[in-house]
Amino acid sequence: MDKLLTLSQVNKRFGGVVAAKDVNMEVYAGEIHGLIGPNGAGKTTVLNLISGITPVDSGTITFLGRDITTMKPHDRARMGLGRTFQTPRFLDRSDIEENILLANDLNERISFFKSFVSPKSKTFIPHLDELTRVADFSFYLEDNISSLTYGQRKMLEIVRSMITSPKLILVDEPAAGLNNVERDRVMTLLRLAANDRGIGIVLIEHSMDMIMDCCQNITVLNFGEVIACGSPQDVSNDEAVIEAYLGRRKDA
Amino acid sequence: MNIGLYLQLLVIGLSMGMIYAILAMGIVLLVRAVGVLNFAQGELFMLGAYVCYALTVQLHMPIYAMLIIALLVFVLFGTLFMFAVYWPLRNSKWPATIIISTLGASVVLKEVVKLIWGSVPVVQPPIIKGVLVMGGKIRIEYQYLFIIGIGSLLIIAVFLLFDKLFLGRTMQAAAQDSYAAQLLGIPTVITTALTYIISASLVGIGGWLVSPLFLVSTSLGSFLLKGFAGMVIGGLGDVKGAVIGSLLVGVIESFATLFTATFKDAVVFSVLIIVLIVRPTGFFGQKISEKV
Amino acid sequence: MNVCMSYMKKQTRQFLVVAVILALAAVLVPTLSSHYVITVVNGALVFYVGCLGICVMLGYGGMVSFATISFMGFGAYMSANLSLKAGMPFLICMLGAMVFAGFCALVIGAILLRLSGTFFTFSTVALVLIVYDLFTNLRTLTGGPDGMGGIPPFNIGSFVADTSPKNFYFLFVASILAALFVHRLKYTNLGRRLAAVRDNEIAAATMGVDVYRTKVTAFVIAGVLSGLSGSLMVHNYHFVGSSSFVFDQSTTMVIMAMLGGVSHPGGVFLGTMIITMLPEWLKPLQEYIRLFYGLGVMLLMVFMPAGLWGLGEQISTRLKERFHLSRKTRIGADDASPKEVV
Repeated sequence: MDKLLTLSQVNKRFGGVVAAKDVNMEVYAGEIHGLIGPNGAGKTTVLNLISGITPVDSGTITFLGRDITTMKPHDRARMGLGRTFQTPRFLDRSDIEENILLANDLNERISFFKSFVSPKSKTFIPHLDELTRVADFSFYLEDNISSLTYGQRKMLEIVRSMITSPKLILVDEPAAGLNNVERDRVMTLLRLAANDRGIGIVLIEHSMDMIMDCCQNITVLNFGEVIACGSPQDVSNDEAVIEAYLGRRKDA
Repeated sequence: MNIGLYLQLLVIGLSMGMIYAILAMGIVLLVRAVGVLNFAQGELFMLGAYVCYALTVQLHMPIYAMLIIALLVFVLFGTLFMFAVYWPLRNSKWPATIIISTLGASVVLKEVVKLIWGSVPVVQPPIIKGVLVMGGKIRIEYQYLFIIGIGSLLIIAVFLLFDKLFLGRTMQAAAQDSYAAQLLGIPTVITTALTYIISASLVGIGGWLVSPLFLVSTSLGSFLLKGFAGMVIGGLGDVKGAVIGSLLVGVIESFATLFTATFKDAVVFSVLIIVLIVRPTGFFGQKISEKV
Repeated sequence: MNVCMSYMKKQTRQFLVVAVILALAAVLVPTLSSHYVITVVNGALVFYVGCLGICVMLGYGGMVSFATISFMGFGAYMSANLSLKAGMPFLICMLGAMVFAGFCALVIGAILLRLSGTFFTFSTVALVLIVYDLFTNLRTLTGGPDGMGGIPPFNIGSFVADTSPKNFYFLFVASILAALFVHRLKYTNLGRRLAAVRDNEIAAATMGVDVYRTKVTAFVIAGVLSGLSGSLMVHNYHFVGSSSFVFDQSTTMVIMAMLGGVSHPGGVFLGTMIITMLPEWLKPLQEYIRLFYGLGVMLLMVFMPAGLWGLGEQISTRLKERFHLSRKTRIGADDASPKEVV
């Protein structure tokens, strides 16, 4: 299987706080790779470092065989690196169609001139329809984003990312704030992306059910350092992980 | 080496720098504590000059009474300004609306002043009359020294308030996360109003200070840009940087008159552009990162 | 397929309606209006093209910029010099103005847009002041405060615009072309990138949008439009003077754009017309006009930030929903076909 992403000895400090220390990570095509850890462990920071929103202090990040450590966020996105956020980020003054068209621009890269003379692209509609059915909700293209519920918006963010035909998607707490039914849908979407499309997923989640169910590999962070990495079984039995989440036994 | 001339220019430069620093502080306060850029800051400055003119020349008040009444007017105005310009728009999806609204306010202030006092500039006598004569050839007007003195006091006061005192930190907390602040029982209306009041008073006093040197006119609002230049050169969003940058601007402008009188402004703004090219965050600025 | 067909029909319908209105205007306005009214309308059209630049920057891109008036100046003086000193025909002067203004916008925009949002806005104000200083003092190129006169009128080949109605035709065509361009721009990938930059810069970056480059592109487009506006101004009035390019005029243009609805070329047109006509209608209240502008803008921001056009859109959407006339595309539903009437 192709290796999509490698983090090698990545470090990041914010003033006095060590957000990431010597972080190593590897993600393969079609893999759902969990990234877990107690609150404040640095998980979102790692995603920000990968997507380029935050620059690294030292270390290298390799994506699709290229060193992207100093690449700008939009160039990384154009290489096929997708991202969703804890709080969904949409263009809230445009309708849903515009939002999806923006994503589609990454998928269908036409020149400005061509987009000036041709009518609005409709090619994304079947794909969008298919993914939305998998997520089992519906909407009108011409409506504003505000007509969707929070859960629908989170799911649409994943769908939007998939429209861009990415190679890897960084997913930040997709199930937070969702009910059980919606969580199942999110899992179905993610599995579709990984298994059917061969997209790699880095998944930050606090819901252990979801993590254990979906992920092939898990990296555990605590205070910015990787304390464990491996299959769900290995990680759930790892001493360091148990200690990080539950604390040490008093008589140990 | 004409020491005398250089000393004069330095004093003038520093005192003008103080004025720009006061304006810059007024802007930075609103940016830091409320999160908005106020276009009408220059017009509040102008208003300060006219109010003080009205009180001293037209109503012949003694200086102490005038200062108290002027401060009351500034407080009133600061509050009024906030409720008219910022408060109704504080939750708007479109941040540009607040800027445009301050633009409208600046036009309103300018026109109202024009209607009340006319478009012809008026003269304000110096607050401290007389000239300091050193060595028989160096003449420095006391007014400039007065400005430097009062300016320094104001800068220290603002710095103490915002960096040291609890009140300042409360206001900044309210600015950075108003929802959390409200949950903690910090009344954001009051903190916001306070910031506007302080900002308006600061620049109002600045207007009073500068009015004897320049005619009291409706174009006083353009001083704002030098304050802005100082703020950018010194470092965006930082009170310390704004002050140092503004003092620099004042001195640069003053010494630029050795070479050219017409293009004095252009020199200052060219320095601004150069700083923008070389170091967009200014000399002391830090990047303010957004939480993702 | 059905979706495509209905989409095309709606487009053609709208296009025909607008084309008819414009054709009528083209014929009726010059014939029915007095000479004076045409002159005023011409003046409005000149500013309309510049305000379209504000539509792109502020309406589409969410960036408040006051630089429009300075680029109008660049275009104006270039056009004036090309025609007076180099004897070039109008079209060359116009193109020269647009290219020059666009080039200046590229250089200046690349510098100023390193500043974020509101600081950028302030820097455009500084720009207007510096440029005004330059215009007033570089006498050889600009004629200083006295300006340059005797600039030849619009001409294409042998057709020379020596009367106001003829001026109107030139301005009318230029305005329509500019408006069409700006309108179409919204639906291109650049338009979407601008909207992304306006609404959510970080999300935009993660969706492959080069934020800085998009902003500079918008600034250059606005610059070119302003340059065109400047050229039109100069050949319309046969005169150019530095007093036209003061900061106050820039704020007026922003107000024009916002009043009508800054996000839509039609809205900008409404706003420009109203603000230009206002001094004519309110002649006795001349003194208070700018005061009204200021108050009006403040109220507008609170109650109607989308301007008159936005108000119109709101009303029409409500009406359509009430009478079940809007056609919406449903996604993800199991029951209905892709096209469904709400």
